[in-house]
Amino acid sequence: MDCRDIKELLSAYIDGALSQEERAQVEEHLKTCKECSESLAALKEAVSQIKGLEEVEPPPLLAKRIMKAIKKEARYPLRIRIPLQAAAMIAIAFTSIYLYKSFQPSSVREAKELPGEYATPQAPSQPPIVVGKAGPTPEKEEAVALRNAPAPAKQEAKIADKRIQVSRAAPAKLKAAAPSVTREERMADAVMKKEPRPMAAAQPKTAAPLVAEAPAIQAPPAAAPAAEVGIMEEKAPQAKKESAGAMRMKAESIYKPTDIRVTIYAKNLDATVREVAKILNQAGATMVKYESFEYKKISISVLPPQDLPKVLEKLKPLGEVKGAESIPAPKEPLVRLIIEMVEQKH
Amino acid sequence: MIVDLRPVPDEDAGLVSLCKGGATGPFETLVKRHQKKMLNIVYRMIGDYEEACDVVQEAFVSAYKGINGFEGKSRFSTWLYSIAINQARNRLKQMKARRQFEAGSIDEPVPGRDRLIRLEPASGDPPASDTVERKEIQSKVQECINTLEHGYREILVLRDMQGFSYDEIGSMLGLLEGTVRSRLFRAREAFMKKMKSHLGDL
Repeated sequence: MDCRDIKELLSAYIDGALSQEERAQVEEHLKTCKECSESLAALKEAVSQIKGLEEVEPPPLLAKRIMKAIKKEARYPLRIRIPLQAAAMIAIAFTSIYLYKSFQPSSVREAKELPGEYATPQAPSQPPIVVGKAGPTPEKEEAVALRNAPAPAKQEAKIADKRIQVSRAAPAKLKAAAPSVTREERMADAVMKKEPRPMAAAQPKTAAPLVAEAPAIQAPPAAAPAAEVGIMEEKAPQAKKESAGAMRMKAESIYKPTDIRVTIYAKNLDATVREVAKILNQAGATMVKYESFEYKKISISVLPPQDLPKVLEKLKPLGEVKGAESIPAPKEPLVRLIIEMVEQKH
Repeated sequence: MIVDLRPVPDEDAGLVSLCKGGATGPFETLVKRHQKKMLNIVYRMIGDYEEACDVVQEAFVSAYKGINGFEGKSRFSTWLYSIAINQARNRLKQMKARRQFEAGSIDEPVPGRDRLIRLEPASGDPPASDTVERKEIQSKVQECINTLEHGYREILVLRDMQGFSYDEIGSMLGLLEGTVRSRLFRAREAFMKKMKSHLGDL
């Protein structure tokens, strides 16, 4: 064993961590090797230097501080404390939003507190009701259906299709995809049968009328719907529904409605705001907004044009209405109604 | 010096089993019993008194949280100190990152780290000239330890300052006894080299 091996063992030697055999070897070597003896002395010196480092005393309050932290942990472990803190943060956020809103002008608040909140268009919570199997490509199915139809029916189907597209863009009143499509398709059906129905009367219904739409495309107008349902027709409505849904989404995102401006000169502004809110609510107007000025309140809402005359009629008793006479019948599926309410001076 | 290889009866075992139900009273006794040793290990490892106190607190809290996971395979103190060492390692990493962020070389030892020790009251006895000299040497030693890599620092503190056996060090650091032996040898060599280069200044 040479000096380098011995030097490696010296560290363990001073700790008494060598085996009997190793220790004997080291001791034998040290007797004769001066260099290694010096190394041993240096090593012992270094170790004693480290040992000589004084112990530090903990600060007098350390134990108390530690116990405080532990008791906190024992009472509310972190796995409980973190969710609690998160919940508190959320509560604070909601409270501050509420407080912020409650500092708005009083008339706006009153208008908002009216019963029957203005319905806002909701995202469809369920997929459309499926009738029959899905057609491979909706457009193709429609095309086939049209080609198969007799000439007059074809023409009418085209008209119906157009109407459907128009009404597709009227999402405001419609709450879910399935009933909305139903309504649109019922409209198409109504056109085909040449029984003009008022828009407001066409209430969303269950899946049953869905089927009725398909024969309208292919079959002669007067035919009883249920009798005509075939394979093709079963596929068609579903394909339509899909494309209708997609179109509607698109229309909603890019569509900018025409503005209709109406001014009401009223005696009591606050009461008028409440009345207007009620009327708009009844008419099913959406995206109702209010703006408040010193002598003026403005309500902005979006609604289908066919509901417009009714609303304007109802507004008349509230005061002198201006701008309601010369309203052109808009071709758009939605109009933006801006009602300006001005206090009438005596 | 003989390494004690016999299994040592754990004086903490009774208190530990009381703490497993969540009791904080017996744990306080354990805190009082071990805080000094833990603080000294951590302090010598990271070289900052305030940070070391923080680390000791954190270590006790996580020991309390994890006490049900302690199976008694080693002594409680060994388990406790290994938690403290782990926390100290993490703190060292954080401190290094912080220092790097605050600019300045990370390889350079932070000067005057041992000043806190010098500010400590010297256990009652009056300041004599040899005490002053001893403190000088001590701060040199600590400086040298601070410049060593973490693994060497830990093992020197545990063996040469605290006098833990190779076996205990092995279970604290998760090393085999042979590794402890060879690392200790290299750590001491490194320390001696540093001291030699510092001797000129002394």
